[in-house]
Amino acid sequence: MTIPVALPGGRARRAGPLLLLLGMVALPIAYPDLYFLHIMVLALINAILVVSLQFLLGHAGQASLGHAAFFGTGAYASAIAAMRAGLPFAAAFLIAAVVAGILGAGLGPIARLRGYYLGIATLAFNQVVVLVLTNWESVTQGPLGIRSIPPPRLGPLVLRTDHQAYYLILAVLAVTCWAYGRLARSRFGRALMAIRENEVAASAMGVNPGRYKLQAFVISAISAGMAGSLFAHVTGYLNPNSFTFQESVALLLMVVVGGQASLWGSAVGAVVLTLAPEYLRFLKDYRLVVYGAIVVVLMMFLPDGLAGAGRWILQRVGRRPPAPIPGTAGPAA
Amino acid sequence: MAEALLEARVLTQRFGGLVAVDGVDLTVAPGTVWGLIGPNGAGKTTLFNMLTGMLRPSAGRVAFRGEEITGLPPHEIARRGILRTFQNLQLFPRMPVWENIAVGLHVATRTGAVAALLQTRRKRAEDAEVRRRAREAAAFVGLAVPEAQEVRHLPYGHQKLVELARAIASDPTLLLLDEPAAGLNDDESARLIALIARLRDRGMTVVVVEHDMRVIMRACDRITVLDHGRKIAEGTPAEIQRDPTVLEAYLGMRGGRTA
Repeated sequence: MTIPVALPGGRARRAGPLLLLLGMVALPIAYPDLYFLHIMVLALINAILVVSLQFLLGHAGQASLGHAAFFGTGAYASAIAAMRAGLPFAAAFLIAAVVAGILGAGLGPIARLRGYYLGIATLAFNQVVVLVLTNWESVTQGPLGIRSIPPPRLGPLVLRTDHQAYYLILAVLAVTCWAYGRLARSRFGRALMAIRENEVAASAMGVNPGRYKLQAFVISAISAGMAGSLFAHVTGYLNPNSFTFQESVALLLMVVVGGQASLWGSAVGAVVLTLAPEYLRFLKDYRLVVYGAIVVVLMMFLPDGLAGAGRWILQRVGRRPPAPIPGTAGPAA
Repeated sequence: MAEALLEARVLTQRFGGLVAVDGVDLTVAPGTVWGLIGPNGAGKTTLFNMLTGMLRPSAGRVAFRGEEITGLPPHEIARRGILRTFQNLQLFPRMPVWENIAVGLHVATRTGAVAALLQTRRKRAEDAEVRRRAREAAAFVGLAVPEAQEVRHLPYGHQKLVELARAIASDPTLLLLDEPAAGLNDDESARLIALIARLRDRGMTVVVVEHDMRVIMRACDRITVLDHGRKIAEGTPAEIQRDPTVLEAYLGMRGGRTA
């Protein structure tokens, strides 16, 4: 399995994501079915979550089972900021990011853990957050949830329909992917990769594993908080049950199916695994069984995820990514 | 007398009932090549691990340039200018050659996540310099492979060179080499000896743990001999080769190649 080494900067490489973006922009125009758009809105929010989780997993090697906690914290922070403090959407969005980031920093020593220990600790962390959201009724309205959250508003424009929300979320997703790309192609990204590949060697070369892992957590938490804010205002209703560790597991699944090593792959994985259960509804009672079976089959035959399959296809078709020339290779700054 | 670069006093390491390193003193003068030899199990790598922060000494202290570094974590030791190679290669397998070496420059660079996000001018300049110095280090150790190749695909000899390049890229003050000649043939060993000499000429201080006597005797200015965790002799290569205690414990019985 290859890891997210910064790809040789070339126009051929950048074209891929750009084409994908154009395709996504055109999608609602080509296929304006309301149900489809509603699912796509959720899929894109999942994509933001998954991309930030992929950064944590594929780069820092941290398999967090608590990502939904940051998602939920951001969602609630944004809703409360908008409804109790009457703040405009942009401010609520930023507050969601900041609060989720602070919560990520609050993980502290947990961020240093590895493997199963990290999984258990983040799972427990997730449950604690859900308990707080469920029981701190004075702030969160507990199990009743928060309703009638105002839709996102950009200046004079109120994004009431899924069609409009789609473009906002797509924009946030694009910026998020772009930002993570930059983080990956840097000393910071390299330090994270080194920790993932060989933590002992990384620390012997001066990389402080605890500090960098925590930074990775905070950054991914900030993105999850942003996704939470979008979720709250676009769907208009929040309930603590949307943010349990089962959601975290579902997100991890999307990362793995999409391709742990690939930012774009995991975004695609998010879309596929959000659409699949919805469009399998015709199977009625067998829906989840078939869904589970599909995931198992994908894992058996595509261990590198959909991204791995994509790369395999590209290579077979003969359009191999240009091999770097010694002396000129290396990521573009 | 020149102030010692690295000074270890009564360093001891106990693993339960086993005393792996027993009250070892070490004083390394700057700009020298210091050899550390002894039979297998003598405690050499354990000593290295104590010096580099991977093991906390059970007793004793270590000072580097006059500053106490006992018990500091490995990344702090590295930041102070002490870098090492490993006996059984600790590379970053799925990263390309040049990125492996670039991690060695982490201590010589500073930009972080924010600069990466904003792509500041300083970050871009630093990235360019890292790429340049990584190439220099590769050239210095005589590594000629496609730099984008993942290191796990390289043959053993080349992997050793990558690890060496990684350790020297930032021009560390003190370089610790753990069995650099392991697995090398005669030609490669000869090149290693020359490399160590060139590093010393550049002002680096080097401590080498080795079994290959030819490398040790030719490359080192002074040698410390360990046996069962204790220092049993110390001196120039000529003195060590004549020392009866050493010959009894090690050289005569082991069949290691002598110079």
